[in-house]
Amino acid sequence: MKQLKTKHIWIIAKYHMRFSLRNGSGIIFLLLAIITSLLVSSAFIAPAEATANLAKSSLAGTDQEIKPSDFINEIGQSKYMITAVNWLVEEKDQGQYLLKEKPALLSCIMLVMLMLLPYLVCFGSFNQTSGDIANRGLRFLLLRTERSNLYLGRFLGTILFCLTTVIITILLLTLYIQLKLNIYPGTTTWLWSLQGAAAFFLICLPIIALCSLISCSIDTPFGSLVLCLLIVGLPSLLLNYAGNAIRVESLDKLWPTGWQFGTLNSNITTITITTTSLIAFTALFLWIGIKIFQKRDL
Amino acid sequence: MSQLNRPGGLTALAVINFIYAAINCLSIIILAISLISINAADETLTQITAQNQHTSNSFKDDIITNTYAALTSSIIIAPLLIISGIGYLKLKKTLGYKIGNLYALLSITSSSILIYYTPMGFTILDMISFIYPLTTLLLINTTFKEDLIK
Repeated sequence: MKQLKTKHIWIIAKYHMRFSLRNGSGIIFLLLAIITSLLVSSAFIAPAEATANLAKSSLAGTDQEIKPSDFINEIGQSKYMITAVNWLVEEKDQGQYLLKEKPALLSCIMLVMLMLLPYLVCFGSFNQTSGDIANRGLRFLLLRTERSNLYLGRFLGTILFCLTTVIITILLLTLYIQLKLNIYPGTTTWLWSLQGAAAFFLICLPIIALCSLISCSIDTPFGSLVLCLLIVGLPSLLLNYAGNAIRVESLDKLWPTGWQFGTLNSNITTITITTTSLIAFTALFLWIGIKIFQKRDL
Repeated sequence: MSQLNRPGGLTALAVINFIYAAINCLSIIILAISLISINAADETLTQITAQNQHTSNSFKDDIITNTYAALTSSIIIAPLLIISGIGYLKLKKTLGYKIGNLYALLSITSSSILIYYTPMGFTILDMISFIYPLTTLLLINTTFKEDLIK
C-alpha cells in the first residue's frame, strides 16, 4: 500500500471516466439506465395518466375536474400496494412509511430500480481492466504507475461515471414528477430523491467492486460481462432459496443484493447498518481484487 | 485501416442506430396498417362522432393527421439512421457527422411536433424518444467529433 499515489489514481480515474464513453460500455450503461428508469416510471404513471385523460373526456362540459394525481394517490396508498411493498421489503411497517409518509410514486419507482440497478451497473463496469489485459495494453501503463494505482483509479473512474448516470436518472424522474404531475410538496420530493440517489449509489458500490474483481481475473470483456451478471444474480437467488429451506430469514444478507432496500428504511439504525455493510462488501471485494491484480500476468 | 482506429463507442452507436432503424421500419408497417384500418372503419368512426356529443368533430381527422405525421417522420428518420450508422462505422465526415447531426435534429423536431399535436400531450414515455437523439447529438459533437471529422 506504500505505492498508492492519490495524484496517479485521480488522473487514471478521470481518463477512465472519459474513456468509458469512447469504448462504448459507458454509452450502453447510460442509455440502459435512463430508458429502464423511464419505462419503470411509465409503468406506474402511464395508467394513471390514461385513466385521468379518459375521465376528463367523459366529464367534458361539466364542472368536475380530474387530475392524474387523484388516481396516483388512490392507487399508491391502497392497502394492496402497502401489502406488496411490505412483502418486497420484508418488513411490516415499511409499506406505510414508503407510501404514506414519503412520495409514494417515487418510492415505488425507486424500489423497482433498486432491484434492477445491480444488473444494469454490470454493463458499465464489466470492462475495467479485462479488455486492456486481453490486448496487452496495460503493460505500457505499468511503466508509469503501480498496479494498485491503476486498479483503484479505474474503480474510482467507474464510480464517478455511475454517480453521474444515477444523478441524471433521478433528476429526469423528479423533474417530471414535480413539473408535470405536481402531486407532492417540492421540498419533500427533492429530499426523498436525494436519499434515493444515495441509495442507488450505495447499492452500485459493491457491485462495481465485484465487477472490478471479475474484470481483473478474466481477459475477455464479454466473458467478464456474462460472469458479472451471473455472479451478481445467482448467489442472491441461491441464498434466498437456502434461507427459505432452512428458515433463516437473513441469509440473503450475506450478499450485497440482500441489503438493497435498507437505505430507504424509516429506521436510522437500519440505514446506518445497511450503509456500513455495503461499504464493507465494497472494501472486501476491492481488497481481493487488488491482491489478484498484483499477482496476475499482464 | 480505419476499422483499427474506430473507438468502440462509435461501433456501439452504429449498432444502436441499426436497432432504432429496424424499430422505425416496423413502425412504418404498423402505421400503414393503422391508416388502412382507419379508412376501413370510416363508417363506425363517423357514427361514434355523431353519437357522442362530447367527442370533438375532428376526432377522426386528428387520428388520421397524427398517423400520417408519425408515418412521414418514420419514413424520413429510418434511412438517416442507417446512413449515419454506416458513416460511424466507416468514420466518414458527411455520412457520419453531418447525417448523424441531421438525424438527431430532425428526430427531436419531429418528436416535439408529434407530442404537441397528440391529445394525450407530453407523457413520461415521450422522454425516451428524446434520449437517443440528444445522446447522439452530444457524443458526435464532443467525444467522437475528432474521429468523424478527421
